[in-house]
Amino acid sequence: MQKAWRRGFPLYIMIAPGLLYFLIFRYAPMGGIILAFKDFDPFVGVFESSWVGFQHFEALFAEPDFWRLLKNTLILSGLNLFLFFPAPIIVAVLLNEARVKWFARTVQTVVYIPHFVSWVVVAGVTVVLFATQDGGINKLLADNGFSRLEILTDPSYFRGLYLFQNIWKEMGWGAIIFLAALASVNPTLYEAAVMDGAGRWRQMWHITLPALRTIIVLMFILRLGQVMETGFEHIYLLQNSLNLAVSDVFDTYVYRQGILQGEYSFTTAVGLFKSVVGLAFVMIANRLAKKYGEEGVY
Amino acid sequence: MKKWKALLLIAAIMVGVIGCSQGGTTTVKGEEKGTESAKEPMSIELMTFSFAGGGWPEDHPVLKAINEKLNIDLKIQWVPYDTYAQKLNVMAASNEFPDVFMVLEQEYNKWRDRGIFMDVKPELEKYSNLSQHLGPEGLEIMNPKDHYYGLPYYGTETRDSLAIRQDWLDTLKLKTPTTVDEFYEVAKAFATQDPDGNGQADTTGFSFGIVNNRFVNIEPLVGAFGLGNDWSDIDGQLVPMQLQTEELKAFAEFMNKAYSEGVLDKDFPANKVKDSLAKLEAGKTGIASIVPNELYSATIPTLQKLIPEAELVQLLPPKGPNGKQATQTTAMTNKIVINAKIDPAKQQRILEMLDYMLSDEGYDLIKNGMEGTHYKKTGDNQYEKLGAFDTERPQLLSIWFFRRFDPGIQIRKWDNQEMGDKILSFFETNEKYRWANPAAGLSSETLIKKGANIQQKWMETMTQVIVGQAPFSAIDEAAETWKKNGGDAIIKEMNEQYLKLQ
Amino acid sequence: MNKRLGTKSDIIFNLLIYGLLVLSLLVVLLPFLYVFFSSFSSKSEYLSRGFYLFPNEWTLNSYGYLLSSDGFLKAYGNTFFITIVGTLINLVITCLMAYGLSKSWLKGRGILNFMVLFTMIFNGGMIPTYLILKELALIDTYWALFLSGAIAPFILIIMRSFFSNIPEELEEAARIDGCNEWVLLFRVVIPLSLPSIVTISLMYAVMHWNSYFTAILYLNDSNKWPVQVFLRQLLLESDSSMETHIGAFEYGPPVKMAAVIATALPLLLCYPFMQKYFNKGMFVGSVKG
Repeated sequence: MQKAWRRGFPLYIMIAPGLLYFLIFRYAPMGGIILAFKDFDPFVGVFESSWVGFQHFEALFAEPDFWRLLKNTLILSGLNLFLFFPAPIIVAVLLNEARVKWFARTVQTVVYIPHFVSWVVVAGVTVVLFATQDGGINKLLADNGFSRLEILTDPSYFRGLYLFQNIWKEMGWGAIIFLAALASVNPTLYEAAVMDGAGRWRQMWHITLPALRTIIVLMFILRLGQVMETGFEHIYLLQNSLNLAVSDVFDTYVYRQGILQGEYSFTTAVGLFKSVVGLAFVMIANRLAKKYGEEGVY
Repeated sequence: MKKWKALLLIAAIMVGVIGCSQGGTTTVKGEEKGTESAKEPMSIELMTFSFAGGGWPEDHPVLKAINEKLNIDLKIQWVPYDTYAQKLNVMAASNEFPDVFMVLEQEYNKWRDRGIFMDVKPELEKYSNLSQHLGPEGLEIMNPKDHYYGLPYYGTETRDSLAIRQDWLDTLKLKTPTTVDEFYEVAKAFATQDPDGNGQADTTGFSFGIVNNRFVNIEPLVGAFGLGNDWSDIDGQLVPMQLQTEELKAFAEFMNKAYSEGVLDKDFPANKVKDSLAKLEAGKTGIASIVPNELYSATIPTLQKLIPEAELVQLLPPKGPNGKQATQTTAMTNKIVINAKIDPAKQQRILEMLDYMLSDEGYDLIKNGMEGTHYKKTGDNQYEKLGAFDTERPQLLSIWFFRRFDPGIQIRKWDNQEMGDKILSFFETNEKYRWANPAAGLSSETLIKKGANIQQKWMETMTQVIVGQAPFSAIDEAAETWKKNGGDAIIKEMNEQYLKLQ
Repeated sequence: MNKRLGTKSDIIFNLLIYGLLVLSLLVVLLPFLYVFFSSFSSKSEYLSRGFYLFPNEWTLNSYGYLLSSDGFLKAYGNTFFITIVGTLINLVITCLMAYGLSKSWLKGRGILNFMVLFTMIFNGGMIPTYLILKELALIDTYWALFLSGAIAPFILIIMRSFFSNIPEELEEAARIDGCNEWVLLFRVVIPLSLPSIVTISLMYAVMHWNSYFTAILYLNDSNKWPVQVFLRQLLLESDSSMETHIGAFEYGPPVKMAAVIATALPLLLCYPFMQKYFNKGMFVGSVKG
């Protein structure tokens, strides 16, 4: 018992600055979460503001559109988890497998660029491409005798467009974590596999992918924690009064009803609700991961 | 077990640290115990919003000139507009407001009666420029009868106007429309008869947008059909536009027809504030709302660069079925306030500064900049802009902070006289079709808590009706839903407020 | 020849790999080229032409506007400062803590790991954080930015995972040689983890590079603001009901595009240099498979 502590001593010293950071800058402000149960008055202060109990949560759950918000949030999140999440992994694997290095590097640099394009500009380019009247795609369709597609306003295109924008903007950036993981794969493993007569498919299947397994599981669990976050600015810019049935999510709701109205307590309450859901997902996923022999997040 | 320990630890720390942090928050700003002497140097903190280009550097010549003139040390915080409200709220929570600052409508309404803004009404008579150059409508709005807790940030109330392509009218041999029916016919011709003569069906009649769940840049048509600017005063009672279902149906029928016949821009639901103007500037649409101040300096040059023969003229608001005409009308709801908790001597110095900014000399300085630096005199009443005006932007204080009730706020003294007159005539013409919101600046508990959401729901239905996804009868249902989900309470509360401030 | 290309299935494999890469290259490149080229076009052309690649009329107006604003270069300098110092602080604190937490035998590790994860999901919000920073007298100093963002929990967790992938045997060997944990970390673990350290440096650097909201909130003096604030302001649609238009901004949307290019450029240029770290395979032969 004593020995374990003593052995860990230098490590505790290393952890100390970080721990201090978490306590002061992350945990101390969490006292503010009590605002979710109060009616925050900035001139009175966090602690002296009057208690309202679960009033803000009741207002949230009584919201006529609550189920629509929940459904849309979870569907978009599901798209992110199951269709967007694999994109950076695929990119990393493809780059790893491409043996013409100058080509791989060029592609790698190009796909990394869009991460630096702000959502406002992405939205602007989307309009230029997809607008019904003057969009590039629709002009092309109309010139060739097809009917125009109302990509921006028809709700049935919204989710696809959302997913596509996400993939476009973030797949190259997301790939860097997986590339870093692949960088630590011992190259002799591939050489040995070639000696054993393994083809490219088998090399990918038996060396590349297993090397990524830990980090994939880890990233997936961490993403589950953000299951209620769908990217406010991204959705807000893509939203319009015709696609609300599929585009209205908690992020846009709380912006409209909390942030814009200066309703700080309500905003905190919705945030807390989202966090609790995220935590539940993470804890379940972490338990499952451990059950199947993975390390898990904690 | 482990987790519980962690949570306990977390809770303990949270309470500890936040608890400590409460101690220092009640100090009041008032370091300067200034004597009454106006000669005493004094530092003043000012905060306002900023847009593209951001604020001035600390050593800006206009800032220096003001400092020297008034023997003050003015420190300006320029906060980007989209984060301004959040910055205000954070400052409120930490009790560190600047000495004089801009407050947006919502925060002003919420905080007005909290004793943090100085009541400037009793002071006004001492400051001749303030009393002379600020109109009563701006001072009174959002204030109780006997107190002014802030000074108005002027905006031209009837500024924007519709504009139409005169050259398209001429090409198609059409007359300027005067009623909504003629408006429709002209717009339809613009969309279908190839007014730009390029052989392609690439033009639309008119365009507008939906921003924050409001119809924007189409106000003249909304008003023409008898709808209120959000609210109408009907026999002394405030009535919201959501309940004007007959008028709404007439409006929606017009729009629905325009949409299905291709007269209206198909992308209107996705348009942002500037999009309809951009489409006009690009020669893609024939009628749109314009900002007269930018018309001669930006809109027309952009358009004529593409189509040299293009001609854009004002289109008077078309007459509705009952002869109504309306122009976009916005109220002045931003306020410049003085911190109530600072030293009274400092408050007087701030009023002096604000008064100076509206004086002939000071207003010239914050609007046109400095002679010799930003412009030069070339003759009697003749001036010429210098390059430094565009790079140093000496007009920022008048644009983003404080100014006279001056419709010519964007007209500088070197600008072509004729152009200035044209801009002013826009405003004068518009003034005749004022379409004011009687409830401008009023707020209500339920409006804050539920308003945005039920408005969105309502706009969702309206848009669906316009594009033909929902029947016209949905407008009645939308009104009922709006009422049921909070509208009734909003109407009641707004009317109470309305009576109180009258 | 046949031998170099490998078996039939290897050829299919290569076709697939290169096919997909070319596809993603095109999908990403076309919209980006539009952003790039439209930054060199005039407002009229931008508004009227819809999607295009090469402008009919080239102009440097947008870049001229950016460079002529006195705020821009100053803000750019601030960004470099914030990014470099901020990233260094991040790296030191993150690596130390991640290394400590990567040891599975460490007592209390479970709780600490959970504490880190918890902050990824829950946060106190804008106002309480501000109050803490104010209490520590950090408002209006760069320390507010550096310290309030000293560790990104997400990046810490990733780094911890990378560290724990380093084979135990390697460290055991070093320990037997009498190295203590500090020597082990700096002499063995960090050199071995260069690809991951480069990766997280990049992630931190980009985080600082792109941040603007905290700067506006925590720094009252706009002379200290980073360039992203400047850019956000360019992207602001001025509220139509207010008279806030200033003459200088008549180049229109191309300026926004130029702003994107101007800010992304340094990070684009340094990327190829970083790539060599994670492409080469820094792994020094060992047992882990």
